[in-house]
Amino acid sequence: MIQNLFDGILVGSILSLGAIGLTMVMHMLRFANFSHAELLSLGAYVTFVFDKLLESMVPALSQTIGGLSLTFSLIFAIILSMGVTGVSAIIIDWLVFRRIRDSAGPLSMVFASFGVALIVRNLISLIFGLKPKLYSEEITFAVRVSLDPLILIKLDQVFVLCMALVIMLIFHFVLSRTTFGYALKAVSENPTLSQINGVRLALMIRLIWLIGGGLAAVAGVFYGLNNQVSFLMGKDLVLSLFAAVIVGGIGSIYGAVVGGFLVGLASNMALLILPSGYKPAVPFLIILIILSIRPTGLFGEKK
Amino acid sequence: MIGIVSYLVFFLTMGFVLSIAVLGLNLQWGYTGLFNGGVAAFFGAGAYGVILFGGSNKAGQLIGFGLPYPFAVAGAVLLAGLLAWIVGLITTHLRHDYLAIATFGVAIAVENFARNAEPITGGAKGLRGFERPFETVINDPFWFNLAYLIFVFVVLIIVYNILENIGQSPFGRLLRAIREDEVAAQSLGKSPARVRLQAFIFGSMIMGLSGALYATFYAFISPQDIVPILTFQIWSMLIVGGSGNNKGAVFGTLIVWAGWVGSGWVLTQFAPVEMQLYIGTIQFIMIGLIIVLTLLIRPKGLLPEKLIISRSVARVKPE
Amino acid sequence: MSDTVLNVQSLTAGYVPGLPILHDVNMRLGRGEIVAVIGPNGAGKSTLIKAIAGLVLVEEGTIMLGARNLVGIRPDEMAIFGIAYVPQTNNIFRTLTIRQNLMLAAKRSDGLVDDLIERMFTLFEILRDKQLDKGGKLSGGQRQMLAIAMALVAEPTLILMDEPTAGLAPKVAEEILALVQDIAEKGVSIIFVEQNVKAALRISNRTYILAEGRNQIDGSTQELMEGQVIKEIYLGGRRLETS
Repeated sequence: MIQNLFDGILVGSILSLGAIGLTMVMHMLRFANFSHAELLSLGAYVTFVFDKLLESMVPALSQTIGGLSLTFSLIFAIILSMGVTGVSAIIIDWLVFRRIRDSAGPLSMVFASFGVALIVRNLISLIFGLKPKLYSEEITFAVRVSLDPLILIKLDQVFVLCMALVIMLIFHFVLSRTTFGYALKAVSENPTLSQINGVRLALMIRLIWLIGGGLAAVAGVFYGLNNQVSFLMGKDLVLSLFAAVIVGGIGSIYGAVVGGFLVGLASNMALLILPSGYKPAVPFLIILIILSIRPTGLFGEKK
Repeated sequence: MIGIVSYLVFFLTMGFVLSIAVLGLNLQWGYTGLFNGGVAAFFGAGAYGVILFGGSNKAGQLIGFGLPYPFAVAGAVLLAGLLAWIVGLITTHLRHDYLAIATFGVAIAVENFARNAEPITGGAKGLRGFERPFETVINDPFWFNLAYLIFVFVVLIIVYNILENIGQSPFGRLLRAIREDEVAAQSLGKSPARVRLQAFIFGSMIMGLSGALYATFYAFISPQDIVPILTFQIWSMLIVGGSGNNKGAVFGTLIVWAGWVGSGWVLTQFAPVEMQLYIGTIQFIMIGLIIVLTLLIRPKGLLPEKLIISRSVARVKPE
Repeated sequence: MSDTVLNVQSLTAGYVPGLPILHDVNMRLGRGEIVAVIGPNGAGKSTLIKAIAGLVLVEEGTIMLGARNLVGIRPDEMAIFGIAYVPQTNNIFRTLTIRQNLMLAAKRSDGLVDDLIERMFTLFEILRDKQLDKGGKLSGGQRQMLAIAMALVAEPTLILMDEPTAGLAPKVAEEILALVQDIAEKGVSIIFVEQNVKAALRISNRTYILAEGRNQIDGSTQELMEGQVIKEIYLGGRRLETS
């Protein structure tokens, strides 16, 4: 029970990071982006590559930090990957979504996002192979927090949770204290009025992809640390991310954070009553329940 | 020679079965503008349905009604319709991409259910041992398959004609009206949510019929047959052909199906050994590229819809 | 007459290509001048000022600001040219605080922002008290004041206002109109759309009448008030003849 709770919060923090970008895109560009989850796996793999590169170039970086399996090179790799993944998201928008946005309706973009997801996911598996990868071959041992009930927690997991919270806190400060943050809120409330007030929409769209991609990359790495790095990561997470966004209400960044935690918790708590094989279907049930009782989500604005 | 002919029979049978599903999707997307991201769910409901309703009860199996074939098919189609009704009731009146998300979710849930609910669906091993109608009478695989091809073709013709008639009926015009301008359709006293729900259920039932014919052909169904890629294959077939046009839907199905089978054959023959594991991967990229490139280069497909539609939507573009 | 700030010539514009709402509209505005645009519903009054603000597709004609043609300039660049636009509705951000609204509208992040905002608060004391409240909490009149403050804080030379008094109580509407006159006295030019013809004629220097997207009559407000034409066809309640 308590183990499920902890696992739920941990997965929840990862989903929150991923859902922030998705909710911004769904609100601003008005389409459900089925390829957003692939940015998580892209970020995880790009980090993997940078990590190996840095380790071979600067062996000193391969030292682990404290009792974690994390190395300094991995930390730097994450930062680099955030940039690369964010820029990739901008490039995908420029190559595909922007063109369709200009010529057709939002549902064509939903449709295109399925195609983009298929291409990205399978290109990754073509390049990196079907077998999952691990950031560290070393086996880390879980700390037994208590025996009865049995609760096992890895230090890496505590680190992931703390980092996820710190990143969300930083993002919160950006949103609430900087003119850029106001502009972001302004654009998501009223694009035309923000244009009148000097906000350049095209630039904001690029920034939203950059931030969404960067946060997705971190989420992907954290998911990979907690499980393994697999090209199926996006496919496994896409529905949970949508569930998080819908629970929070489309367009609400704080809603996405809360939604991520709720979906993570619900998915893990559901295992107390459901056989584990049914876990992938839980986000779908959450989506159906929310849509039938409160389609605007917890923090969504009513139309 | 007989090998080639029997392969051709297989190719056409599957092509026609898939065409039926694509026609169902055309009713939803092409006519009504409904985004169904979970074609595999409704196809799967029909496929599992026909074996559950028509198959006999075996050891360790909870369901198996052994109904006569026409009833089994009817049951399968109704099962798909029921599933569509549940999803549609919740989502067809909401923001349009909610339907895409919910249907995508229902496909995952159905596949998940098929994999896990072993007493009903046989789990990962699937359901086999379904006695096909007239199988014992014809008693020769080649002639049986040929007869089945003709049967499927007849069903396709019937479905095609029904959809063409719907397209030209006042109901069909209403569907297009809702697709083009929901508010205007509403102001004419029609309830768009209700009509969209009807179109969604009917289209999903056609997909269920396609699934039933698919499972009948193999006398076997497993979760492997209803994975998400099926949805994307069917989508790519529709847009390559031209959504909104039934002829285009069938045409696109045969082209993409030929490309799928052909690329599979070429890759197994000529790809180096170490690439053999990645044939599926390459084909998935191909489907993704078909979808994206068609949308970018020829969004109306090879055979575009033959309607002149007023474009009344003003779009304020950034920059 | 004062020197020309804005000169709209043969403007044809609308939302959908090939379906213009404005046809061949002309308009001129001098420094510190208040120009009212009146006309029946659907005449294209709002479209005219949206076209000047860069929000509408211009098919033909020019919008000259001094020697510069504004056609094709993006709405977010208008501030650079000293143009501010106050929409009729949804003209403030409900999810931002009053202060954040003003900071965003000031379009600058140097030390001057605080001074500028302070000046707005002296002009609108009520906003100072509520500066930390969300925009959504303001009353209709307060919203309109904030919207005008958001225009002023960017230090424009020309303000476009779409029905600034719509939906306001008469007393509040009077305050807003007085404010508009104050702003113009400081040398800022103003174009405003107004439903209330009497109010429009009272505070404006000149008035343009639009109907079905075309100029009907224009001239100094004095001339219009004295002329029989407008009294009969407009103030008298008779439907405006269209060309």
